[in-house]
Amino acid sequence: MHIPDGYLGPHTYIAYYGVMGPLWLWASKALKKTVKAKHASYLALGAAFSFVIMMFNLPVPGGSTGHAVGGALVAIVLGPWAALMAVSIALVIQALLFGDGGITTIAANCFNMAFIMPFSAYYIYRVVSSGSEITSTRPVFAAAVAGYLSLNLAALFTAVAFGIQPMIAHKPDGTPLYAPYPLGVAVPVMAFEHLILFGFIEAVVTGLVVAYIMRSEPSLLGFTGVYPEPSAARKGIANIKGLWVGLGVLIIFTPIGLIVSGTAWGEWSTEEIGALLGYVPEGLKGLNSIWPSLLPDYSIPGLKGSPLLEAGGYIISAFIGVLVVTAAAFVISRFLPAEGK
Amino acid sequence: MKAEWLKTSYIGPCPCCKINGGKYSFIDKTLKGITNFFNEGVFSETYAKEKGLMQAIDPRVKVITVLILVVAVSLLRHLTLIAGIYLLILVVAVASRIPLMFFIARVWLFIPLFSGIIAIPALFNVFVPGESLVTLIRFEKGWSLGPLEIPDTISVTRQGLSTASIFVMRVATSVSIVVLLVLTTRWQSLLKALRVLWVPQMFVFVTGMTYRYIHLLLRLIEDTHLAKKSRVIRNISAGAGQRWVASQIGFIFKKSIKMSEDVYLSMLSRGFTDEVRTASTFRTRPIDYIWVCLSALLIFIVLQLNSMWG
Repeated sequence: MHIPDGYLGPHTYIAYYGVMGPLWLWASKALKKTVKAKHASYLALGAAFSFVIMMFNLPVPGGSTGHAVGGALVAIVLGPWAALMAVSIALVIQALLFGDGGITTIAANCFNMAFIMPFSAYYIYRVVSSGSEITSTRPVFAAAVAGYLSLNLAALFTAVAFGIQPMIAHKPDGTPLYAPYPLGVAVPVMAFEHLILFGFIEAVVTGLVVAYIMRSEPSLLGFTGVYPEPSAARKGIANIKGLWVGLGVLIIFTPIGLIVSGTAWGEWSTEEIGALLGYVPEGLKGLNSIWPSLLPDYSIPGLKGSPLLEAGGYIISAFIGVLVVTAAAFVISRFLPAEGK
Repeated sequence: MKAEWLKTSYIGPCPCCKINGGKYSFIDKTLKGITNFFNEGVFSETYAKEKGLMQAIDPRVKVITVLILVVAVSLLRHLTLIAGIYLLILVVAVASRIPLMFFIARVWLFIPLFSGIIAIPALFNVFVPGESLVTLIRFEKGWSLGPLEIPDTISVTRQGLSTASIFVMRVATSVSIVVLLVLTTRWQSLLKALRVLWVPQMFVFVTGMTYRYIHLLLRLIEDTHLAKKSRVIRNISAGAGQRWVASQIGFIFKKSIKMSEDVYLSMLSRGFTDEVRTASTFRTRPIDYIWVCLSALLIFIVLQLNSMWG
């Protein structure tokens, strides 16, 4: 799954750096806060552990061998933010020293294996194992499921990165410049080998190691409760004051959109499509009337006429939108397992 | 010192009793991987100590120029330009006292073997349609296979050849540039030099620590695997093998957590204040300026040609 240099075009790998930069910053802040001064040694050993997991070969029925990526296991035992940093460091060492994965593609590899994989694994594990006793077999099952699904998810993201290359980078005559296969080929090929083989290896390693730790030192699995961030998020709304202030500022500035003329590309209304194309496609006409919006064009019915009133309508629409999304997230969070259970 | 008989892959009274079949058992494979890891470390240090061109250049300058060069290679759209850079890299490798065949083989045999195999199907019109160069098979009519449309003739296309060759050449050139940097720079200097790319001090420090602890953990893993290997004389089932490997990973995890506490305490007792300072011994010399100018000129010329040729 390590993408070498030359597989991704500059547009793609620069975008990955744009995504990973803030994530790395965020993760190191989260770790400094939770692990305090110990974070240097904790992270170094965590990263060394992430690196060596890949060195273990596992017998596979039929006489062959395979190895796990380990992102799921590291996330379950260290928490997702620590896993993000630890696996990233392991990947940097692999790329710099062993040519396993490219330099331009470090961020892409970290995104797939140090972000998508640990985070999906961690939350799958939490949801499936929620409410179970430390002595039950459910956490082992949950770990195996998390290993299998998270590896496949990471493989899917990798395949999509490959698959979009012919679309975004080719010569005038259509010759692809980077990874040459379209989504229709890259995704099935990647999915096939991970669904059939590698996913199971990851599942076996993740499940069996969690079983071993539960047997020999179950308190270590409590690490997930000590280090990661969800505990802080669940403590309540008061803990995220900064977020509310930021949201408030964003809401106040929403009317800036009124200054710009034109519509965002691809977000045309039927009237605009009619004006642009000269006709409105039949299917679009039919679909358009299915859902009449409550606040059409982010404005409040009645608040129209002067720019000031329109700006007010924008702010109220933004406020209602934030309220609805927060309420929905709150309701969903009630169904998620609570901390420490 | 390890006994010679432990290094061979066929262990037990006779080869038929090696653990769990296959050419190499899982234990041998892990041991082999660990040996390779240690060898790599020693290898890169050997060439880094030579007195050659790349070794003479300030690691910070090397890191920056290599990075810009790899990015430039990723921007090129013409095979000749990429191949030209590859040839230049070979010249620099020779000037850095790296045996040419070793350098070529390391890149072409070891790393992009995978990329080479990946590129082969792209030659054909099934994946990259275009002007046919050689027709291989003719069918009565085409059909579709999942998302793929199989045409009535299978042929190698000019576009396919261009795609595959640019792709393989680009991967090989990028890998060569990075391998050249790694072979001619000591690991510690390489890490320290990352500071010029605004990599935080703490990250460089932790990565250096990680590298050392990888060695320590691998020694532990090597010991437990050798112990297992020297005690097992008959086949064990895949299930039992998997449980054993999992227990080893679990053990290494417990050891890491315990060790991170100990390491922290020992750092604390030696005056660690959560602030990292590294002494920089790097000095730029005239050769660095010449190197920067030549690299900039090269990159400027290839990018100009690239945009001129369209």
